[in-house]
Amino acid sequence: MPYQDLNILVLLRECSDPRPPAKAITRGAGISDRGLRQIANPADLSALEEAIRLKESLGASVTALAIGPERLDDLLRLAASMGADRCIRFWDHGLDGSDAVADARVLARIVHILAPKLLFTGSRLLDRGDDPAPALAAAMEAIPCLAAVTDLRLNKNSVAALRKVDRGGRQEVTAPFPCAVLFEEVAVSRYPTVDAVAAAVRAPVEKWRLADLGLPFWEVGATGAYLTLAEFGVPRLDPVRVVTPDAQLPTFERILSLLSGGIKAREGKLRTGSADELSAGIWQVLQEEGIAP
Amino acid sequence: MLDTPARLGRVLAQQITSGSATLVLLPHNDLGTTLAPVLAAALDAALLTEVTTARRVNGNLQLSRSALGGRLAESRVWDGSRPLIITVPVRLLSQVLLPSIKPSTPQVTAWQPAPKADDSVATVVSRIPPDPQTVDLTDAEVIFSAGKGCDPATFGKLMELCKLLNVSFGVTRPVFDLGWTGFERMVGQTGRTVTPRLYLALGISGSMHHVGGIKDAKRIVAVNSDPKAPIFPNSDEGFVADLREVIPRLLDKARQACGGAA
Repeated sequence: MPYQDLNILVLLRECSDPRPPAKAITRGAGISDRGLRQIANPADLSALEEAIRLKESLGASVTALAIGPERLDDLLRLAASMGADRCIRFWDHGLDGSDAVADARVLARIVHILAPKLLFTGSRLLDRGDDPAPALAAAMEAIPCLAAVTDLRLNKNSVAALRKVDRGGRQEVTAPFPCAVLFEEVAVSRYPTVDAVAAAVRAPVEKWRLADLGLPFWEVGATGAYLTLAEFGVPRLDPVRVVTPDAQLPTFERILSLLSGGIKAREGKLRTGSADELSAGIWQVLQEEGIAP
Repeated sequence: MLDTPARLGRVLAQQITSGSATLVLLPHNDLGTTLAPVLAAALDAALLTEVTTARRVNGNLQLSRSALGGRLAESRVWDGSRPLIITVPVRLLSQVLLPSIKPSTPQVTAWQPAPKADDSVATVVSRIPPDPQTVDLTDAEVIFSAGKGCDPATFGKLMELCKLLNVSFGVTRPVFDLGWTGFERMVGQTGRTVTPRLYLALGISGSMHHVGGIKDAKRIVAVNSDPKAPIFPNSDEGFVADLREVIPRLLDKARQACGGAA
């Protein structure tokens, strides 16, 4: 099926590698950089891989986008070495301290300008977990958004996707073009060849600033954020109910009840009998739960 | 309308506006995470997902969520000038109700939005239920779990029973150590903490580490030949029986009910 004008915008984000030890700096003003490693978000690389596969199979054009400071050029050059046709990095003064709404405004504006048929990115960030900004940007631009996608198929004027939902279930969903697709970390991103990496060193990275988007400065960064960053701190420990042991019990039982971590004794109805009777009893339980016919 | 969650979000946004609500709480599940951005865009509201704690600081609401893979908490302040949409992971909610929280009776309002076709939103075409044989144990609805009281022949029959009845199977640490299954099938505090509708513990003694991983199961039924096994006080119903006698009988019943072998 020919796709003459299938242009895909892939949002690439960096994230902090959560494996090395980390600590908050003075008075929770931020996270200490020492020992902290910034890496490409794995789910975003999966989204890029899906886009490159569509480029190879259907002739799509792929634009890689990163929002952040100059070090993200390396991420875009990685995208270029994997096969991205165009690389854009957006950043300007005063964009720090934003929240999901301010981030989404920037992304929505870029989507509005580039008008891609598909916006691809990862469903979750490795360090922060859920990031609502891409879905919010899609909602601001009134385009449908499919999250937690594991498989994507293109039809003439729409996409059909398989997505993960709660408790291990899946859904088949369709959405018209243009739409945003947030991928799970399923596709393994390719390892670029040495020649491709060498060529990507000189790949041009377009640098976009606030003026290119036509957004006023008070709508982005900390000034445009609806939620102000307060601090980074140690997570609060979840309160655990402590069992008060019965003073009449022997010492061993009292220690055991303290160590049990709140395990409550249940009814403990015991049934004895022949193997036939007991298997009939278990079968009845399975029937009550709707497992056995 | 659940097939078009974006449209549901737009209808909800109208209700929220007419009700002058300023704070919208949603569960951090599939529907909640789909609705939250739609509501935030429609209401021009602040949005924070996966919120773990909330407290008042200087008259404002300070909300926290995890950062850096849960090692740090990121706190943000909401001044109340705009509506706020938050999603809360149900599994992270504290099991302990603080004494300062007084239970109240919420006012429930039901309404029926007018059906309206909309081709511009994502539409759910079909729902595929989870396959119990492959689903993650933390998501499983029914689990048959084998302990050390299961010999290899009985274990094989149990696997067949699970396939016939279309339920998930789990094991305890000693059975995992024997190499009969992968680590992803191990239930307990050092393996998977599970919350099924029915947990059938077969040949499991009921060590504290195992019971700690199943304590939130809705119904626990235990089968063990030792009437003094610690699993029995921690189960809703106990059967003192030998698995070598019970499992073949259950398998025969399942085969008859399902009309043949798996």
